[in-house]
Amino acid sequence: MNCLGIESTAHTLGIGITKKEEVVANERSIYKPSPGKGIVPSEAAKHHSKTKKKVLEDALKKANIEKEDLDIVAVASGPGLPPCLLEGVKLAKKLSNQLKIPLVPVNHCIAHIEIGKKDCKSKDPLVQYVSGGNTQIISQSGNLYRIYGETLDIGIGNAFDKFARNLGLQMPGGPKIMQLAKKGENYIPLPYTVKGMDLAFSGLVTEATRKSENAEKEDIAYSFQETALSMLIEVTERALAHTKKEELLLTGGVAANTRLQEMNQLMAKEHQADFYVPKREYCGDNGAMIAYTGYIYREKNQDPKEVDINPTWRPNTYKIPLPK
Amino acid sequence: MNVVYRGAEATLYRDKYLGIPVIKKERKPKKYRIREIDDIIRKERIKKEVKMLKKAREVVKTPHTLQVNLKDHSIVMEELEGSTIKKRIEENQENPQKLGREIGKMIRGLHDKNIAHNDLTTSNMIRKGGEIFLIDFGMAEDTHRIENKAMDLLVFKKMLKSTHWKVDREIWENMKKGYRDEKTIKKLKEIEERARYL
Repeated sequence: MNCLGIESTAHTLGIGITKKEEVVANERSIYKPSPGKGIVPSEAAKHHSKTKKKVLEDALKKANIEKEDLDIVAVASGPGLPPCLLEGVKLAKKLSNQLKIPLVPVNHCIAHIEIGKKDCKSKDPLVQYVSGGNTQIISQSGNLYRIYGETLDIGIGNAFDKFARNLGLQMPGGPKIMQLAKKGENYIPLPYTVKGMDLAFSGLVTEATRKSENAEKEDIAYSFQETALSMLIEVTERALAHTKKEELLLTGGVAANTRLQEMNQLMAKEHQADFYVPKREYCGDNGAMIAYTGYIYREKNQDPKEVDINPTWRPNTYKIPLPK
Repeated sequence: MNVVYRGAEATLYRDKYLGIPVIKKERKPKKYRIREIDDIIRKERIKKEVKMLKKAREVVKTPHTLQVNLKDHSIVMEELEGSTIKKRIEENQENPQKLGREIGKMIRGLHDKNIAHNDLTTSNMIRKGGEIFLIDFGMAEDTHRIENKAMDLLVFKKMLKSTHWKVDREIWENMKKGYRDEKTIKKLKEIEERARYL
């Protein structure tokens, strides 16, 4: 059984193909905002529209199959930016109608979790899901993924990008802050906002920007990164102690931050929990995770006419098919 | 000293103090964070905890503090023989309606004293005898702001939803009955409506 998955929730247009549970293609094209700017949703959507034909062809070629060999089409219908989501859903409906195959709407956050679990052979992890727009501490209980903690304002990746732009750095800002931080030595105190298992980043971005005027770039980047990541690890640790899970899975685009990986590793060790990070290609947004999740959740297929975008879709509302 | 519990905030050891069994709660340095942040947080939280415990004790049950050591960031407290409300709910040993009202009354008492606990989870509530003891005041704050009190309730509500999803509504509705402060509940609704996801 071949499943094609389409990812277009933000800047990445990704198309992946799975043969049963095995990933056989994972192609993508990434929209790059103009220098000094953040993501412009309509521009990103234009990029997806322009590149989808090529990415689809690449994926089929990579998988070494024809369009007609597809059995299921899956699409990330949320959460994400509406204009971007529309492009993915449009393409999915077209394929589903044309090939007369079922359409499975997939929750983007859950796809990150499912591919992470598969790639790391993790069974029941506490998940730290960190990307541009999302920052959540999630774990399964019963037939739903439950959200134990989350950002109350902006995603951590967005916080890094915003701060980087305020420092005059080009996008993507996260890796640049990380590089600068490596050379920082002096810690400058910054606001640390944690409420129970939730956290917030806006105050930190504002204050770090204000203090950057009288500080070395390296030092303020170091202080910003250490503060933001310490907050994140603290709420994750609280959720780990509270849920008593024995595995910790880091995923999402920000998982590429090596300091974050190191901190998670140290924290997990103290709780005798196993720590996992999926391969880089599965941490960032990708089509393979949508294809894989669409395949394992295939019983959730819907009439294409009823599938719509769901920009604020919370992962804790998407029932997990449990083994019968 | 043997480790009784390794939480996120601190490690608990069983010990003896003047011959009586006690718990030593130590905020150990966290290896994951840099010393500068670690020092600030540990110092701040132990000071806060001691101060807020003292204040909270007038309205809620909480273990007695016997000794505070700012050097190793530890507090020696009387030992509580009981089990967490989390465990008791999971083992069906609590009546959700009665429990909700009881917790509501307890939180109201704190809020009337201008204390926001800021980490109201069922892991931080311990049933001993017929009563609920509240622990972990390290994130608590002295505040008269209704917004902070509403946030305190929100932390509890979200924790119920994720952790006790079989009985969360029942506990929450009864929590409100025990809490009986419409103004704060209204503020909570406002916060939820402007929240990012809810």
